[in-house]
Formats: sequence, C-alpha cells, structure tokens
Amino acid sequence: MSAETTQSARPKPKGILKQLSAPPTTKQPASPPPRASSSTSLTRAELLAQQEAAARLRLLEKLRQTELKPPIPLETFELLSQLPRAPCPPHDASNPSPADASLVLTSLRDFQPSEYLDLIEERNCLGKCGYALCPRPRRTHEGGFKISTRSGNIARTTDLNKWCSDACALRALYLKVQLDNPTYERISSGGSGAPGGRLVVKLELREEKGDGSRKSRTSAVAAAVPRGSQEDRDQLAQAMAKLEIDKHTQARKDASALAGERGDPGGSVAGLSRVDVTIKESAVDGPVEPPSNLAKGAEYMVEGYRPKANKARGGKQPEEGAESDGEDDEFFTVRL
Amino acid sequence: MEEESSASMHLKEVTRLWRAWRTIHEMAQDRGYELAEEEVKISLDRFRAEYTNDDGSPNRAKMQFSARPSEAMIKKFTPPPTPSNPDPAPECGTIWVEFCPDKSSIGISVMKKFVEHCAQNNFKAGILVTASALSAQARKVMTVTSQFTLIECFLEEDLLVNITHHELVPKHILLSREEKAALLKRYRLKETQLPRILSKDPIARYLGLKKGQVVKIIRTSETAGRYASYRLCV
Repeated sequence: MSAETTQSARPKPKGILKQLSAPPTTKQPASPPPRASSSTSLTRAELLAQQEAAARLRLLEKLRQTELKPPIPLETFELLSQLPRAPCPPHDASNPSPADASLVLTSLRDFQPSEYLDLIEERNCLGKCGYALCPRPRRTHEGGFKISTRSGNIARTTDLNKWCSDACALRALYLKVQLDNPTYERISSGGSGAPGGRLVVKLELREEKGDGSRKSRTSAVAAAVPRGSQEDRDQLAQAMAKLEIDKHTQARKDASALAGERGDPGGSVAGLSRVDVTIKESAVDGPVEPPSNLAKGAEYMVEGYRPKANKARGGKQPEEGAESDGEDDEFFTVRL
Repeated sequence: MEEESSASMHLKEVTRLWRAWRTIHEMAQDRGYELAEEEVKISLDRFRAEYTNDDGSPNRAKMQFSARPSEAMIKKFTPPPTPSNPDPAPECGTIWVEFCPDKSSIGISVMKKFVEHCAQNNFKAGILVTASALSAQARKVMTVTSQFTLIECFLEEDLLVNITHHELVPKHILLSREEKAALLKRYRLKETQLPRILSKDPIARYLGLKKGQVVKIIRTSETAGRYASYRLCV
C-alpha cells in the first residue's frame, strides 16, 4: 500500500512510465502531455527498428564471413597451369610480361591457400615449375632426400622438385604467404553496383633483387593497372604529387625550426627566441684550499658525508651499539 | 650390365601390369560385364607377347578394352516399369577400361581427355588405371562428370591382388532395386536402418557401388553355417 502511494506520489521518468502503461490504463496521470508520450513511443519504435536493422546487418556480416567461397573453376586452373603465354627470351620468371603478371594476380586473389597448392601440383603434373610465371621445367632430382652441399641442409626431393630453382620457390611461396595471411583491399566491381566494391586479397609479386627496384616497381604498377578506373588513378596520382609537395614544405619548416632552436642566423625565428646570456666570473681572493678534514664530527662521516639518520642521536650511538649488539631491528645504525 | 638391369626392371613392371590387368578383368566380370574366359585368365607369356614393346618395356597405350553388360546385369540394373514409363532403359552400359600411359601424376588435362573419350563413344562407365596418384583437381574433374558417365580411377598397385579372393573377404552381392525394396519390406526397415558400407570401401570400389545401393554379404558362420547380412552404401 505504502509502495503504491510512493509510486504515485513520486514524479516518474518517462521511460519507466511507458513500460508500466504498456497495457492502456486509465489512471495514467495527465501531467505528461499526450504529444510527449506519442513522441516517446515513436522513438521507442524507431529504436526497436534501428536495433533490428543493426542485428540484421550483423547477421549478414557474419554470414558473409562464414560462407564458403565458391571453388575456383577448372578453367582457371587450366589457364594458370598453361602460363606463361609470353615468349621466353624477353620474359622469364624474374621479369614476367605485364599481361601475364596481372592475369595471375587477378585470378589468384580468389584462391584459397589449398587451391594455390593444387595449382602448383597441377603445374607439376605438366612438368612445369610450380611458379605460375615461370616457363622453365621443374627439377627432377631422384631419391628421397637431397643434401645441399653449400649450407648442409637436407630437403625432401618432393619439395625440391616442385620448382625449377630456389628463386622460383621463393617467388611462389611469397604469393602463398599473402594468401595465408590475407590483407584485403576493395576493388570497384563492374556490375554489382555496390558502392564499396568487392573485398579481395591484396597480392603482389616478389620484388626482384637483381636489377634494382625499378623493374619490380614497373611490374607492380602494371599489375595494378586493371584494378582501378581512370579517375581513381588520377586521384591517386594527384594525392601522391601533393604528398611530395607536402614533404618538401614540411622539410623546410623543420629546418627553420631547428635553426631557430640553435640560434642560427638563417632561421626565421632566430631573433625571437634568443636570450642574452652574459657570463660573470666571480673574483678569486686567495689560493685554493682543499676542504679541511678536521671539521667537527668528521669521524662519523662516510666518505665525506654524514648520514642523516644518526645525526639526531649522534651522541649516544656508540654506547647503544655496545649494549644492544644483538638487536636486529636497528637497521639504521651505521657502525664505524 | 645396365641393359640387364633395365631388362629385369621391365620384366618386373610387366609382371605387375599383368596382375593388374587380370584383376581389372575379374572386376569387370564380377560386376556383370561379358568377357571371354581366355581374356580374363590370360597367361603371362601371352600378355608379354601382346602388350610389350620390342625392348621388353610395357606398352600401356595398348592396354585398353571395352565390355558390354551381360543379360543378367541389364536385368539387375533396369528399374521396374511404371505406368508412365512402361519400358525403362537399363542404367548400365558399355564399360571402357584404359591404362594411363603417363607414368607421372595425372593432371586435369589427362583426366579431361579420358572423360571426353568416354562421352564421345557413349560409354556408360569408364575406369582409368594409373601408375601414380591423381592430382586434387583431376579428382574434381572425375566427380563433376560422374553424373553422365561413371568415371572410376584405380592405382596399379591397388590392383596387384584381387581382394575378393582373400579368404577373409566374404562374398558381396549387389541387390537390384526390387530386391532392395523386398528386403526393406520384409524386415519393415527404412533405408537408414540398415548397416552401412562406405562407398570408398575397397570392396565397394571393386563392385562400383553407388550411394543407396544395397549389398548382401554372405559369410560362413560357425554356428549358423552361412549368414547373410545387408549393407547400404553411403
């Protein structure tokens, strides 16, 4: 009874009121105007709708993450196992033709790591090196194991026979690592109309050591060509140019700030931050003497320093030490 | 010296192939295909005369045959007539068996060629005997096309011995549809209540069992003399 009266007496917050009056009741107080109540119900409905939409989005996201990717069609395998199409003399594994490289990168980004292994196996069945851009035949070592005479390592010949050389193995496994630990990028998809485009695995070829970064960079650029539209590339070029300019201005600013700090005359803030420093020598009267050891209480000093804990009871310290020799709790005593 | 060793190696290989050749013929016969007795029980000397090159190496490209289903097999594989389909076609047809000439592992291209050959010549089933394992994608080609023609693959080393001749392997008999329906009715069972056998079981592979087929397994029993059990292929 008392609880009811307190409830009716107390001014209630709207939300609780709303919950209580979910079945329409007549004893609702007239104090909250009907407009306000309708607005709260509207917001509640909106809130529910929002929550529902968010839940649906989360569900879709989860489904998208957990769904199985469709398997790679056999035609792709056949195509990739017949690569490279470019003639061998100008192009080889270290210098693939841009068309082939872009084809490999675009088709490999839908691959699962296991499917990439299948591709290597498929190329080996045809007697080719497992690296998709290598025109050479694979090695044919015999026996179970092979010992490297240089490093002394032992390797399975089945592993060695997948490639034509160690360099190709590195190149192929470089791609495999990127498939194993994918970094995603968004590409503008052609017909789907989705604003963000499709998320795909970002892939790039291994940079070649031999002839500098120039060639690999060109190949990377060539590989990147089919990924974006012309506008995107223009935007990117502009942004890059701006970045260059920004870098120059930033370098200039830094240099001037540093000069100002140093007080160099070249700095723009050279005059502002300087402080006049005058050095005054104090006059010397007599000859320099070492500090005398004969000061009072010098016998209690430890290397010229008098311990402060003992200073208060400096007088009686010796007797106390003699009396309570076995006391362990006197940590602060320093006995000389 | 080297010639001798290569000759003995060839001899070994030819013997192995002869055993696989005999087993695959027995397999076809056990499945119900019509094969002449002298074809199945070919002697090693005749095999060597027919299927080797001049230098004694085996000629795998020549090792291929086709076989037609026997009357009994056609009867077994024909579904019961229904009012809408009074004269149903049998579900079995000519089988094509081929030994793969490549000794390296089998890729997509080899498999596709085999499948195409089977489809062009209207073979209902095809068996490819290979010296080494299939690649993963070639296996996929095999399963994808298995709706039109039943493609099977065996390794040569799996066929060296006919497993059904082993004393511990009981006799397996494939049941026709009517027999299966009668069995289920007789014991008031649903299909899933039968004991099961995997389709990758060696015997199931030997008989070419498909999902949903039932085999009758007759084994000798100390107490009952003969004991029959039934297994559903899954």
